[in-house]
Amino acid sequence: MDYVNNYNGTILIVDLETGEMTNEDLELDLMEKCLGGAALNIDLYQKYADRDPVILGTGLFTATFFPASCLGIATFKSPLHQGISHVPLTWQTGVELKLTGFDFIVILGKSEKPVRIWLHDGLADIEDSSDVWGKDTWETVDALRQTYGDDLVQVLSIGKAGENKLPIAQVSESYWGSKDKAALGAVFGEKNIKAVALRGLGLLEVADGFFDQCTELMKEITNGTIKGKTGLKETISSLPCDGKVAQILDSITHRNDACYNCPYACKTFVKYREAANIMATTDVEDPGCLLTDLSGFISFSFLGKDAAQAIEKCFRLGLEPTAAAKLVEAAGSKDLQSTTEKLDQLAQSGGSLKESDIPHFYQVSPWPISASLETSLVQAFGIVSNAVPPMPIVASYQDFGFKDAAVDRAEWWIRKQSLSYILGICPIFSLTSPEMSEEKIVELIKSSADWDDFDMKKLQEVVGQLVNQSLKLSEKAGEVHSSLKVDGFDDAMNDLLARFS
Amino acid sequence: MELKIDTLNCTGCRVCEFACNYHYDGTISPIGSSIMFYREEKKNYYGAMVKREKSLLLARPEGVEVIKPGQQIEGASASSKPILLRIACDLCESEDTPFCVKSCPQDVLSVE
Repeated sequence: MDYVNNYNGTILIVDLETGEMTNEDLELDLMEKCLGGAALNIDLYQKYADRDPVILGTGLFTATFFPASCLGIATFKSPLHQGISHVPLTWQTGVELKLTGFDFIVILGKSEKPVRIWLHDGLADIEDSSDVWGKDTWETVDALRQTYGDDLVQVLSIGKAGENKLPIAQVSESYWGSKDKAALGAVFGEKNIKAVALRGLGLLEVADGFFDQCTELMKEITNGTIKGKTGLKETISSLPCDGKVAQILDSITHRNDACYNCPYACKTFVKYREAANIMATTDVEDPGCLLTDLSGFISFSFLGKDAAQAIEKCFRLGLEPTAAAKLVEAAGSKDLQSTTEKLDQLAQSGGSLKESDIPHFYQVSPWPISASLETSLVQAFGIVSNAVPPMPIVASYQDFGFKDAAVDRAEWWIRKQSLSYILGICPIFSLTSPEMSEEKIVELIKSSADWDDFDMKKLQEVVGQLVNQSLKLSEKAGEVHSSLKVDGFDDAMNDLLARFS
Repeated sequence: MELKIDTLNCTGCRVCEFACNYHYDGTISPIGSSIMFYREEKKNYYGAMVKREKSLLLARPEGVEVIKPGQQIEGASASSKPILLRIACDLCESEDTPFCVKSCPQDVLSVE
């Protein structure tokens, strides 16, 4: 095996207490054991466990030509349930992380004063961030892009909610929120990290033939299940929720956007401060918002098309939208003005689903869709992000070769997500396309890493190892809200856990 | 023969930049590509520029135009400056199909 084709070969250790930064080599035996992504994050997490680490990692395929290879992964102990969580970083974040020249970043301890970590072109700096502390995430991104002189700098930042270390705080990927439902935003706040800014020019080697293999697979995918499908509306329509929610998008949709190298553009930009069909730039500075959070949008749909503006408000404040929507709705918000006021209050003083007796999985907000045994199981399982739909999207279980057994379906979802987190493939995309089979993945791992004896057994071992180790580090202090325990839940969960023990 | 870009159906995934660089030096990077992605993110305004031998192809959401040497590009942002230093697109002369065309998941790039 030769990982030089996929990685820079460098792990960066950032000690916030001493301000020191050191590089470690990404050792070949570690790569062979873990492949990368969340599996390698876990290894690093355990190595530095006594320093409350946050690991930002990339997968074997992140930033390559493999379809939907956009993913970075944050691994940390969630303050919500004291268990390990892996949060997927989509958009251009994971790609830009690997292009900085560092494959994995280990952030240790806590800074005395607000700082940001600026990673670029193989260099790392810890910088004072008193200039942006107190600013919302949009202002922070604007300020940092201006400081660094580049519109394509990717920024992980926190808003007011994160600065206040709230359980509903979310880290934001540039302007558009994230898939963080495990309060990474609060962990950033606790460590006094206002932002991590990323920009690099890469230079990753590519194995001969890998580009052609990837483009062939991409062609098969684009002619497969997702053909002709795009955007948030299509995704929502494939989920078991009120069909009227998707119609809200009709009058405000601008265009659909994709993360790096993804054939399924699942994000939809909506405009509400100017006509949605305007394609040229105008003087309107903030014409709308990129809707990246399906669950949050559905949860705010009680506001009609104003749901989009509520989402923008959450992104600016660094609030997890689904939990925020449930909390403001429970507090009586019925229109945008009262919602906005309550969101400001939430970001200041917080609130939790548990305290408000709102259904939750270990204090994590559940999907606002009709519950089934399999979707309840995967959300209660934790470990990976509940921001990803708990079932296939624009495809069916049958398309993926599954019939009726709920535990089989749940096991499939967990394995599929884990594999995405290891390799650096978008976990939403992986629920759309059965054409991206495990056989194809094995073939491309062998090719990209010149790893002739890699096989399906090894792939399954790495996935099982990730889930097993994550479970061992997940002593959940919370509980599944009684309303979410559908018939047969306890027995099925025991069965599911046994499959990964 | 020249590169065509269907700007409205582009989803902004950026892989074309990386595929272009791969053609020139066999690595993944946006640094040496003839095609360069740009984005005004809060306005969701994005497109691509292509450095050609004697002109610049500017593909914006409202349309595609050819910029001649010395012509001012209205609204250019900081991230667009380095394009003038790039290698001119050779349409991947040694290949059947340019790599950017081959890699595009939305088929918005073509050669005509």
